[in-house]
Amino acid sequence: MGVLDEPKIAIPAIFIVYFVVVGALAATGNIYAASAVAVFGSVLIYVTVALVMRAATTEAFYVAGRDVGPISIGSSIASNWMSGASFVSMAGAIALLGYDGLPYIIGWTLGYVIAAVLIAPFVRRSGTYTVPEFIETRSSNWPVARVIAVLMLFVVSFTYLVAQLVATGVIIGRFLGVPAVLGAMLGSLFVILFAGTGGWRSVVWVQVTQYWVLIVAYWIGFMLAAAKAGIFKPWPHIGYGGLLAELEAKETAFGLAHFTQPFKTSFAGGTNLVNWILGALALMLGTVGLPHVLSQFYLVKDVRTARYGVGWGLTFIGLLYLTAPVYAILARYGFSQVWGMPIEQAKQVGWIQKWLPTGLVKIADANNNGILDVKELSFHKDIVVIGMPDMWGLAWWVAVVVAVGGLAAALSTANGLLMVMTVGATRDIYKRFINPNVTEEREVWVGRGMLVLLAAISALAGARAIQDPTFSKYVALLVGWAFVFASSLFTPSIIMGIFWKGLNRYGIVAGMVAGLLVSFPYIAGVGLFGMAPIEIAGGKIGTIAWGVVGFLVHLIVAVVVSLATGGEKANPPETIEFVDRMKIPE
Amino acid sequence: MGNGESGVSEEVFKEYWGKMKTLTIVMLLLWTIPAFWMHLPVGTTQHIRILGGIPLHWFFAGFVAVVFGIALIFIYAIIMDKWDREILGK
Repeated sequence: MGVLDEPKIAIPAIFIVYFVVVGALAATGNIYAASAVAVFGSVLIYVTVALVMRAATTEAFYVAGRDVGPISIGSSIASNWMSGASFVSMAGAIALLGYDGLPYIIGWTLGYVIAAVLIAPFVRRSGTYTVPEFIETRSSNWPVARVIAVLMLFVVSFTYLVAQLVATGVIIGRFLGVPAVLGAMLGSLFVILFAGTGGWRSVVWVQVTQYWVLIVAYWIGFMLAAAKAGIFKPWPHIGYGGLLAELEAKETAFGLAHFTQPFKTSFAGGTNLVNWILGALALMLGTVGLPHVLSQFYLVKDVRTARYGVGWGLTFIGLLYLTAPVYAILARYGFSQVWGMPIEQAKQVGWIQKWLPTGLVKIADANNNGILDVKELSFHKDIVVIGMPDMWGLAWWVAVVVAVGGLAAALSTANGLLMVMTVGATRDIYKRFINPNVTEEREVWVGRGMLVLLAAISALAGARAIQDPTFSKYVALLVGWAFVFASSLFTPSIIMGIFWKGLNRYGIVAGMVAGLLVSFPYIAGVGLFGMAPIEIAGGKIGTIAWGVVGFLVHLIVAVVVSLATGGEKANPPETIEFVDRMKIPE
Repeated sequence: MGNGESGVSEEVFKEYWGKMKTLTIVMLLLWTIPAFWMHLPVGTTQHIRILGGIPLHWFFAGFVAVVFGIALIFIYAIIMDKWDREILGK
């Protein structure tokens, strides 16, 4: 394994081999082989990175040795955060929803400001290894709080992971013509390879690599399409005004509301400005309570790196999230080009012809007038990113680049989720409750065993989700609700736990329980059982927006119960010292 | 790992923590601008066009808010970094 011990040689070397082989295949005109090697070869790169960075200490396995620098952790935060859905579906969701989809953009980014100011540096300074451990220590070593936190972590991470494996399966399947179920199985095998070698230490460096792969892939498709659309005036993100005006003229001609007009459709079952803003706030508050997000703050070198790292993380997330709305406009403009065309002619348009058989684009002449009316063209949100290279007549290899990027996005998030669950199962359950005196070597092996077990279970669930639309629907709903659960169950107590010594164990548990009782019935009722949503100022409050209510109820209940049970006096000196220690500069 | 003893006197730490609390509150108040206030006047901003045709409400939510957030994090990091160095005498 000699060469694998030298990261500065091994990692560039594998990239060069990759480009040479893929380039050679492409040059000889063997497009299918070049595509397949490009997609699977990218996985080989990640495996190499994981092997180079392998390690066998618990410190490396659980917290990457706590030596990751600011730009690296920023890349890792960004790829850990941006899922297969962010890459493939975000632009499409905005293309469908317009302004009503923008809560996703601000909601899934601005939470990191709260994380930077209120959480990341303190969590890093706390000396704990996991979020459940942090919660147990803060609630004066009450194991019940840790168990609740681990359960929560598993529910959220597991559903999220299943969604990633479905995305991986669909990307691999669509690209190589193999069944998506097989793709999902392969995806979970890849993740075992990345994470089994060195735990977080391998995963964090694989994520750094995957970030740069995914963002370059996203931008290549975008920049080429932007150049064709002529929106470099002087730069696509601020130069699309003219294109948008053309699109709006077309919308007016067809009697449609403008794409950017606010509140013409619903966001997570709610309507109007109140729901729009509460929805975005709930996503922000939920972000900072998600265990796989918080866990990254444990990996950094020091407090200073935690602060700058979150800044870089949001910058790198922004490179994709600020591009998605422009991507959406490019796609919408592409669609508008075929409105009003004779149906037969529209069916001959290159990208429609290619994607019609997949069902991602649908054409139906409902009124039999032979003309493609606006309502007769429908599309799946994934077509925006996946179909973009065809829509704008880009070279065949752009589609391959997009597939490689989508795979990187899905795998990087899957890596992180699987690690969070593995660490939860090993450190928070096995070591804490079953075998506290385990040796370090054995603990790492138990970790690897848990990893394989968890990956296998999620692969089965992923396969089920691909085959069974009902199961898949519940997975999708749960992913959206994860934010509501996180903001109602975790965020308030974590923040107060750092800043207010008066918060005690009774307050924490009462707050968590109250958060659950307020959030679960509402989102289940409205989301599943057709209960009418509550109305504020004439607008309906959707399931996601309800996360703000859960947050506030948790906050208030935790404060009231803490004060009623003696507040700070109910905390033993160790707990007070734990809170103080987080604030001392280092 | 440090054990919490950084050789800072109680008094100096109190002043540091006081400054830090103020900064934290200021940052959270500033955060409400991109998270909240910027989007409230959507009834007005949707009719304002900038940069050759982009509606302002769209540009706020799809661009300005996120850049604002990034700037806030870096400003916070730079200020805290300076204070940390000062208190530790580096």
